[in-house]
Amino acid sequence: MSDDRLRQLLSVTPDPEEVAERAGRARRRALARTEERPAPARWLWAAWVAPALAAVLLAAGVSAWRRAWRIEALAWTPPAPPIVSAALEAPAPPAAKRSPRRVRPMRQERLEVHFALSDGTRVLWTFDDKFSL
Amino acid sequence: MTSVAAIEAAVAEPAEGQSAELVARARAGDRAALEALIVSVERRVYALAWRLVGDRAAAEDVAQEVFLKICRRLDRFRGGNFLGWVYRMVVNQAHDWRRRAGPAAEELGEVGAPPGFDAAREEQLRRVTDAMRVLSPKEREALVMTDMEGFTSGEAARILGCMAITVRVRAAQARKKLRRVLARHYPELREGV
Repeated sequence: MSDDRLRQLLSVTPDPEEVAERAGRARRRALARTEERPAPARWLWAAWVAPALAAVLLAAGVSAWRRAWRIEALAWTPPAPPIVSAALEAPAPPAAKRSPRRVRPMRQERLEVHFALSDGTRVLWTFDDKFSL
Repeated sequence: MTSVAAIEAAVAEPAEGQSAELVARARAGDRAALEALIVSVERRVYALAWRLVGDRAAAEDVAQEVFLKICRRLDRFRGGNFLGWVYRMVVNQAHDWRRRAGPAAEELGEVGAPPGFDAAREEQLRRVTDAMRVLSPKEREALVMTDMEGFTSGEAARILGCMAITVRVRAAQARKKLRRVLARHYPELREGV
């Protein structure tokens, strides 16, 4: 019994004329929205301006990147003349005073390397007892 | 009093075949067929939207969005029950409206009735609308589909995307809550009366 009464209460709706009017208005608005076309200016923006702007930004980025990573070119130097001969000399150390108690090994004080280059240049490298040039 | 049956009788709902034909023509680009298709369901769509959101202006917005979706998504309709497909969209759109409106939606009072309204019916509408605010959205959907739109729980379940038993339980809970609230104005709704 109370269920039927509840259904009866729930079945009430706005006036049919009002329903028809509001539904019709909603339909007309929806159909009008389907006929909307994007404005030409927006189309142009999408088709040309945005890609052009993107290309300019890309070019600027590439230019900046290349500038940052550029390596300066080295000055040209002619190749060194080849070595014609090389000689190693080890001058004998001065005679040391012999100790009766202890025999010390002989110590080389100097080492010389003589180079002769093909253009006549002579080069002398001298190494000391610590082998530094 | 105006009942749902009276509105439905006033609406010339197309037969299944006629609806299918309109859909086919509308898909082929026939604008008149598309409009006729929407006209065939517009009052039902508005009535359902009003029952789900409980507000005349909001129901109009919901109906408008549903009509727009019909226009744009008709290619996705895979045949069968066109009205069921539309009702699913109404339910989803009403859900979206509630989510967007947030808690403020529950506070909205009905916008004034149009001139020449039936005062007794408007009073009953206001009481029912106010009472339905105590329902959760899911309970409201279940109650509207079964008790107000006249669907079986199985049909309502297909539209709402849940199980039939769930629809029955939610509708029963909704009835219980409504009876308790409306009993203040309608003592005959009290249990055992």
